[in-house]
Amino acid sequence: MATTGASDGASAAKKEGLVTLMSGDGEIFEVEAAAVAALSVTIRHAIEEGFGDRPIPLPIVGARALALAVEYCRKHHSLGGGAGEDSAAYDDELRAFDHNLAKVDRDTLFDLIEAANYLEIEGLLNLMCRTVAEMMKGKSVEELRRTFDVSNDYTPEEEEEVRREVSWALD
Amino acid sequence: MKNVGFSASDDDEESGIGPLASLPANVISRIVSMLPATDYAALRCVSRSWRDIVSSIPSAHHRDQLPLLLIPPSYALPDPLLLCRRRRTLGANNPVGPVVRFPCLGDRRILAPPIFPLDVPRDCYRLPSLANTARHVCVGSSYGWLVLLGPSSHISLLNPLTADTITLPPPLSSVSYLFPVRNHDIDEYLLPQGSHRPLHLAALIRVAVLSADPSADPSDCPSSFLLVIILGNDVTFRVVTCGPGNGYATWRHHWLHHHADIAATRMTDLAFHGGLCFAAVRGRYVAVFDFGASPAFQRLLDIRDNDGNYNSPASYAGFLVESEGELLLVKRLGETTAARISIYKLPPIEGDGAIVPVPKDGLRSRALFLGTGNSVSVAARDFSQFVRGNKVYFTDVCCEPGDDRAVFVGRVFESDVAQGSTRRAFGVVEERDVNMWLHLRPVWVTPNLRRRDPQAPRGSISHNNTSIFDSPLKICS
Repeated sequence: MATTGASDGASAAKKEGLVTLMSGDGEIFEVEAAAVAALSVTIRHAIEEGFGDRPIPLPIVGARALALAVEYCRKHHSLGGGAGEDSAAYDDELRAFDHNLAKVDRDTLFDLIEAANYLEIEGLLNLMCRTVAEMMKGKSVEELRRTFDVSNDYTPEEEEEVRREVSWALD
Repeated sequence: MKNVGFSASDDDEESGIGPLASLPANVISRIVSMLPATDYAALRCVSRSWRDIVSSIPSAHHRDQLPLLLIPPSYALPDPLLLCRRRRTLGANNPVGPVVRFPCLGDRRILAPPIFPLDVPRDCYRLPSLANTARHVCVGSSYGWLVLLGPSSHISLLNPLTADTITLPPPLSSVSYLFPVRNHDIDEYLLPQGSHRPLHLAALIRVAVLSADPSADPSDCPSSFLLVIILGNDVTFRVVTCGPGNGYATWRHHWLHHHADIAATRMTDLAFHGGLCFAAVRGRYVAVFDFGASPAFQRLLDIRDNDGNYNSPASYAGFLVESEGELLLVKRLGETTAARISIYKLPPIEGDGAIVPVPKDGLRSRALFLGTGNSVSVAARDFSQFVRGNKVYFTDVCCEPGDDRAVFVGRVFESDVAQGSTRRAFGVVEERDVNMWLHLRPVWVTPNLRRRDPQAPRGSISHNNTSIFDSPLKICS
């Protein structure tokens, strides 16, 4: 992702305050240590353990998701001081940013959830989980199958039984 | 990758799993806990894999869910039904989600225009699980399970959504054998004689709660649950528990230290938190019990204001709510629509500190539902259609004018903590018979769709008491 980290004019000469992250597909990101460490528990621990001058490997996080996660950390660090949605610092700009971030396509959404979970970015994980929950709310069983690309592997008898169990919740 | 919840087969893109399967189990629990129970139930119907995923979520997460509303039966009415609103008809103005009616006005009266204007939804579904409970009284509920008192004073647990049933050993019939008879007013009612006993015993049971979810996976909680019942009247007070002991379920009586301010009618709620049991006592106290210790009673905690002075209006009911990891004491001051809500925070388990007030905006985005043994705190943002943050929802029974005489109406109220005001949300049940008022109070029930034993046949009733508690007692928080 050209927009992130490394392209900010940070060179080897200006390593101060930067940390290098390596995505699972091998892409290198140089990002402000303060911003990511404030929001990501995993990276904070990695820095504390002396990864500061080596790339921190993030094996299960893809480059695209990592770029978005880093952007989330930057934005929230600069605007909210790392605050979550319940804090007073969660203002309109952050709200708009989060709102836009939640509009990613479904596959990116799931990648981002995995990234946020691995990196332990609580606010991002919560935001993305809520986005998935909103996609589920009020949908019929058939709509859920379509939305999440799930085929029905129940036998007709099984399905009838499971639907009867929760008939109070359907239609 | 750590903690990947559900391994997918190679062809999972086209199978009954989809991308959800790639998520770790803790993430799936988090997503599901943001759903109302109706959506949560619908997930189970999507595919086998989704049903398994949803079923394997640790039940602690269900505590964050929007509760259902359960309306206890009028004892005289036969054939109780459990009814629920259809999810398609949830209105934006209605402050609670799916409403469950534990009977029993019968279909006819629900469908007919009510005598008193109640804004109850009329398109209800019935659930079959309570069809055989006509002669039972619901004396408590926790973790989505109902504590039912049967016609011969036996107690059983029922999860109305899964129809799982647990029959406890013949409990109180042997009460005089289990502990010395001291108070005939109480003990007489503990013996099964005559058809009126259950109702009388129900009136003596002030609080009945469970220490843990009976349907919890043994791997979540390596032991079992304890049923705690507070019995008594204005002068006497007994704590009776049913839990594991000597390889089978045992009823135990716990002696309490005598204190002028503690009588059964003054105990308004019980909650387990951090392995201890806390009891809200009317007035200024919270009593602390440890049922793993002997004696169980540990100490009394005192309400103090921020300056260290005792400064709490006495004699109002308190509820204990676990919210974001902390145990809160929530007091309602005043009658229904004039009610003010005060919230206090309990000191850390290990500390001996006092109970201190929480600021008026202290709930922030949480909404609380108050009920004995099953109060819950939910994130209002997750259920913005139904509830708002910094609000408290409680139920009560009010006497209101009807056409020709007064009727008793069970209502839901919404309290604004910051403003100190309370309004009627809606009425859910009405009754003209004055004798029934005690049992009309609607209660919140956390939806729990977790089957206790997935292999067990539907709706089976276990009479084998030895299988219930076969491991040593350890109370799960």
